[in-house]
Amino acid sequence: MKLYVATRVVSGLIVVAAIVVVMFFLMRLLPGDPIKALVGDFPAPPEYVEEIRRRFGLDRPLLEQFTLYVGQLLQGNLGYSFLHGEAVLPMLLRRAAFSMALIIPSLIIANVIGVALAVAAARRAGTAADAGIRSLSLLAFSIPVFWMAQMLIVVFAIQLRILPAQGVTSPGGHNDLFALLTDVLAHSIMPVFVVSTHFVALVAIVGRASVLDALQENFVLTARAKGLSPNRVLWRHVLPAAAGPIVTVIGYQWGQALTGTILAEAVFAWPGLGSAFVSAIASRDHPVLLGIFLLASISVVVANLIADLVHAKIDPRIRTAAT
Amino acid sequence: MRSFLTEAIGRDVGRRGVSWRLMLVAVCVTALVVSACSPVASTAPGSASATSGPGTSGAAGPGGPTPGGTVITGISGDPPTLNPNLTTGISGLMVGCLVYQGLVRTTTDFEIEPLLASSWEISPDGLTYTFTLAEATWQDGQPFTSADVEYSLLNVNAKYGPAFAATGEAIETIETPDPRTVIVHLKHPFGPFLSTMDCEKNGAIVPKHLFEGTDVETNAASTTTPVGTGAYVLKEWVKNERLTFERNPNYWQDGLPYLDSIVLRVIPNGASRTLAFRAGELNQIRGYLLSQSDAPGLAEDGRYKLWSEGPRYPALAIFNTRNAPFDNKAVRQALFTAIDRDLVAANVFTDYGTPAKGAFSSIPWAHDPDLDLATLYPYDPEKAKQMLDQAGFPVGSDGFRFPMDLVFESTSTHNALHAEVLASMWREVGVNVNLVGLDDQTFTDRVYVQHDFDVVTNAHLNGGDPVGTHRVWLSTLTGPGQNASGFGSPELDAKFTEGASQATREERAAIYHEIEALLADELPTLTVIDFTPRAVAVKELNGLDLGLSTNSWWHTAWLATP
Repeated sequence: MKLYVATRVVSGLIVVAAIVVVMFFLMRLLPGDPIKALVGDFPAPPEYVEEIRRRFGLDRPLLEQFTLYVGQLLQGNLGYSFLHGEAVLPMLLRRAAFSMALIIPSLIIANVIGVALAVAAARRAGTAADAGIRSLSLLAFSIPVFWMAQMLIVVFAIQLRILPAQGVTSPGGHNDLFALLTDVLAHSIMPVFVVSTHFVALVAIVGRASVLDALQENFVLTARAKGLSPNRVLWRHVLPAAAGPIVTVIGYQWGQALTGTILAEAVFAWPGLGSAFVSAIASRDHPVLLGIFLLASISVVVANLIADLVHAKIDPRIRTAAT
Repeated sequence: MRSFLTEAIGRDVGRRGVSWRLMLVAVCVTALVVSACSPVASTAPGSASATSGPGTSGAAGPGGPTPGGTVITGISGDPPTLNPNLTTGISGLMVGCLVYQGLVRTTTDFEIEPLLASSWEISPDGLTYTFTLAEATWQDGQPFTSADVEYSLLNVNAKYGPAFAATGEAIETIETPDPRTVIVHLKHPFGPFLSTMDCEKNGAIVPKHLFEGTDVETNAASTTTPVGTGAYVLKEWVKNERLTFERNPNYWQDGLPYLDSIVLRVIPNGASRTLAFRAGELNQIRGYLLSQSDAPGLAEDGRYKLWSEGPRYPALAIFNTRNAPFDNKAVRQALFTAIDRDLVAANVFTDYGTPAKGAFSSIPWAHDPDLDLATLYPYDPEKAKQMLDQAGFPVGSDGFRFPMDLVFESTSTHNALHAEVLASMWREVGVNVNLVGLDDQTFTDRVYVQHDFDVVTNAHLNGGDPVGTHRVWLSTLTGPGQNASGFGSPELDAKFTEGASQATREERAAIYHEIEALLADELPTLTVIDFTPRAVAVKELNGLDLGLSTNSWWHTAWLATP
C-alpha cells in the first residue's frame, strides 16, 4: 500500500512538472503582449515599455526566464502578476478560498443528493419515478451553466428580488459578523446551486447504474433471503458494493468542478480562481496563468489520489492489485 | 484592459465583457489539463431590434440638484494602476480621474473648459501658454501650486503617459513665476496642446510633495492611496469586487460634488452587468460597458433612461494595402460602392449610428461640411461589379473575383456584426470572403504586428481631435495600434504635422479638409458609420456629464428623491 501511494505521488509530481514546463512555453507562443493590458492600446513611450519589459524580465532570453521561474518556484515563489503587481501565490490563495467556498458545498450537496437520487431510482428501476429521475438528471446535466445562471438571476434577483445577483457581498458596511455571513450566504446560493446541479445529475446517473448492478448480485439476493430488512441490505451490502464507481466519479469531479466554476464565477462576478483565470488569459498575465495551472493540477492530482485510496480502502480488489 | 483613445475602445463598445466564446476557450484550455472537454455550441448574443431611448440625462431636474445619495456603477475589472497618467485603459482612467484632475476638461462636444487652470492665455504665435491656477488643495490638505504642475508635466505626464507623449515632446520649458501661474513654452506650435491637459488624456496633475524622488509607478499614490485634487476620495478597494469613493469634504469647487459616494463594482461579464443593473445592483452603465444588444430591452422599461451621448466613434473597414488587389485604389472604391451603409446603420448600429460623411465627420470641427461619402460613393452593387471588371478582376471559373481574409475581433459584438454584414455585401459582388474572428490579443498581434489580413473591421475613438488617430494614417508608424493599412506617404505625413502645428482650430480645420478629401479619394480605410454607444441609468440619476470617454465627471451628478 505504501509503495502504491509513493508511486502515485511520484507520478503526480511528474504530471505537475510536465504541465508547468509545457504551459510555460505554450503561453509564450500565444500571440499577444502582456504590456498591452497594462498601458492600454495606445502606443506607450518606448522607454516606458522597455522599463516595464525589464521589470517583468521579458527582455531576457526565454530559457533564462524559464530557469528563473523554476528557481523561484522551488523557493515557493510564484512570481508577480504583470497586471496588478501583486505576488501571485497569496493572490491565488485568496482567490482559491472564494472558489472553495463554491466548490466544497457544491460537492457535498451533489454527493448527498446525487446518491439519494441514485438509490431512489435504482430501487424503483423501471417505474415512472425512475424514469423521472433519469430524465431530470439528463436534463440538468445538459443545461449550459451560463444559461442556467442567467435564468436564475432573472427569476430570483430581477423578478422576485429575493437573492442578490452579483458578487460576494453587497456594497456598504455590515454591522456585525452575522450580517456579513448572512450576506455572503445569500450571495452564494445561486452560484452553489449552479455548480452543484451538474454533479447531482452526474452522481445520480452513474450511481443509479452501479446500485442497480449491485442489486442484481447474488450476495444481495442471499442477504434478502436471510430476511434482512431492505435498509440493512442497502447500507451493509448494496452501497459498499456500488461505492467504487461513485467514489471514482466524486474524485474526478474535482477537476470538473474547477472548470465548472469558471463559467459560474464569470456570470456571478464571483472573485475566485475561475474569474482570475479568464482575466489572466485576456491580459496575457503569464505568472498568474502558470500559478493557476500549477494549483489546479496539484489539486486534481491530490483529489484523484484520495479518491483512489478511498476506493482501495472500500474495495479489496483494488488494494490487492496495487500492492 | 481597455484603451479609450485607440481602436480598442471601439472594440469595447457593445462588448460582452468577456465573451462566451473566450470563456469557452478558457474552459477548454483548463479542461485539457485537468480533464476532458467536449465541444459545446456557443450561444450567439441576442440581436438588437429598433427602439429608441426615451430620454437623456439633463442637469436640470424639476427640483434642481440635491446633495446626498450613493450611485453604483460597473467596471469590467480592477484598474492596473490608480495613477491615470500611466495607462489609457478604461478601468484605470475611470478610477484615476475621480481622484486626480487635469488643468482642463473636455466636454462631450469637444469644448475645452477650465478645471485646475481657471483661465489661460495663448500667445499669438501659439508657442506660449500662460495658465492661472485655481485655488485648489490636495486631498491631504497641502495647497496645489504651480510647482506641482511643473513637476507633474515634465516628470510624470511626459515620461509615462502614452497619450501625452506628443505633448511632452512639444514642451520646451516651464516657468513658475508665482504659485498661481504656470507658463509653458513650446518648441513648435501644437494645436492639440490645451486639449491634452485633460486627465483622460494622461494629463492629470499629481502632487509633487508625494512623488518627487520616488518611483512613480510603485508610489503609494499610484498604487493604493491616491491623493489628488478631485471631488472624490478612494475610501475602500476590495480587490476584484469594488472600489468605494466618498465625497471629498474639502473639495475646492464650492457646493460640489452632490453625491455622498460612488461605488464602482467589478463585473467582468457584459451580460452580467446588464442583469445586475436590472436587479438594481447597479444604477448606471457607461456606453462602452453596456452590451449594446441589451439596450432595446432596457429602453422598454419605464424605470430606466438610455441615451446616446458623447463623442462619436468611426466604425471602419481597414484595407491592408500591402496585399493585392487591395493596393489598387479602383478596387477599394468599388468595394465601398458595394456597401449599403444605410443597411449597416440599421442592422449593426441599430439606433446609435449613421453613415459617416468623411474620415473626420465624427469630429465636427475638423470635418468639411461640403464632403459627403454618400454622394461620392452611393450604394450601387451593379456599378461596383463593373468597376471591379474594369479594374481587371472579372469573375473567375469558381464564381469569384478574388479571395479576401476579413478579420475581426470576435469579443466585440458590433465589430463582429459589422464584418458579417460587409462579408455578405462583398460576396454579392463576387468576392470570396473568409471571415476570421479572433480574441483581442490575437487580433492585435495578427493585424497590427504581423499585418496578416486583407480587411479588418474596427472602430477608433479620436478624442475629438484628428491628432487622436493620426498615427493610424502616418506612413512612419507600424507598431501595435498604429497604421494597420500600410497606406501613407511623406506628403500625407507632412499634412498631418502641419494640421497639428497650427495654433487655432480654424487654421487646423482647413488642412484637415484637404486630408479628408485625399482620404475620400484613396480610401485606404473605409469610414463606414459614425456611432455613439448608448448608456443606461436609473431615471433618478441626473446631471451626469460623461466627459470625453470615461466616467470622470461625476462632480455634477445628483440623485432625485423619488
